[in-house]
Amino acid sequence: MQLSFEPKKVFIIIPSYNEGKVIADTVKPLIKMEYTVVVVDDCSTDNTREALAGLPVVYLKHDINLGQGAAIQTGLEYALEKNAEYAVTFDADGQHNYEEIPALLEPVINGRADIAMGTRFKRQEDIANVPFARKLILKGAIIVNGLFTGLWLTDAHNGFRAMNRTALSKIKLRENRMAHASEILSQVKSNHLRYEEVPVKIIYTDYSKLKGQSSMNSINILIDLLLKKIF
Amino acid sequence: MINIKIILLIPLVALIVILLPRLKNKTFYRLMLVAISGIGILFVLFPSITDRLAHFVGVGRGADLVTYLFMIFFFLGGVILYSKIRKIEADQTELVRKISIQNAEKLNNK
Repeated sequence: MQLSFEPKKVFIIIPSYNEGKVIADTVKPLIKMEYTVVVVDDCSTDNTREALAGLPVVYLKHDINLGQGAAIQTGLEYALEKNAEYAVTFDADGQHNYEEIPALLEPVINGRADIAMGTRFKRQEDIANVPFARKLILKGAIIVNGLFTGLWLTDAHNGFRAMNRTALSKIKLRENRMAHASEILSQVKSNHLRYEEVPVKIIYTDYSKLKGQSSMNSINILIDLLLKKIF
Repeated sequence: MINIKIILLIPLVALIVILLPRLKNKTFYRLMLVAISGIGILFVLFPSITDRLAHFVGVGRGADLVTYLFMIFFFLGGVILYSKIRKIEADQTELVRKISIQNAEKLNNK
């Protein structure tokens, strides 16, 4: 696959909350690939900033902890403002594989989609990789998302996404916490953005499992979604 | 009977005395405050009014009617407060976002 794009024009948005232990390892390969790396520090109380000191990354800091959705939106707005051609959202905890960024960008760069969304439920080897409890919850989330947004995807809460400027200018996340993953879908739908799902591998490390969302949090997400419908 | 009336009247009167001067330029809230506290004072002084009202709408006792109304107002109050909090959260988010983008720093320049 031959893709021509300028890595500097690809902004990698990394929402980060207390990921000081791993953030440097997450951004280093991205820097090597010469992407523009934007870390949005959602008011971490750990050494996130020190861990990044000296690295060529853009550091945005929320003075109040707002949630992952808000952090992503801050990164997207920064990318739009700084004339990014493409923006990629990327998890701070090392769950995503930087080598898959070009594959994720491909449908967007080749003009087939405004937004590409990673899915861990397309390739057999990726599916086998998902822990059982996660699988169960994600399948439930897919149904909830489908009902709420009318968009039926194979993966509901994959933070690995790539978008062009059309998507960047249209998507405006107002759900500050985790319900933003569904919100993106409903905005893709309401703005008639073209989308494609791209198979990606999610790396489940002990760290990411520990830091990732607890399964109970899915109930909070559901409540946030319901409240959003009401207010 | 006199004692409970005094105990109930003190907070109702205090509500008006304390809050009314503070709600400057908020005519609607001032009127609501006076109306709601006023009705409360009336009910405390003349409980038989609530009984008559209760019979009128088909509820057994005046005290029951007051409980039901209280529940409704309490719930409404919660909803109104919640939507205000959401609005404040949204404003706060905008502000925090603006500040963070304005203060964007390149960490390798240090």
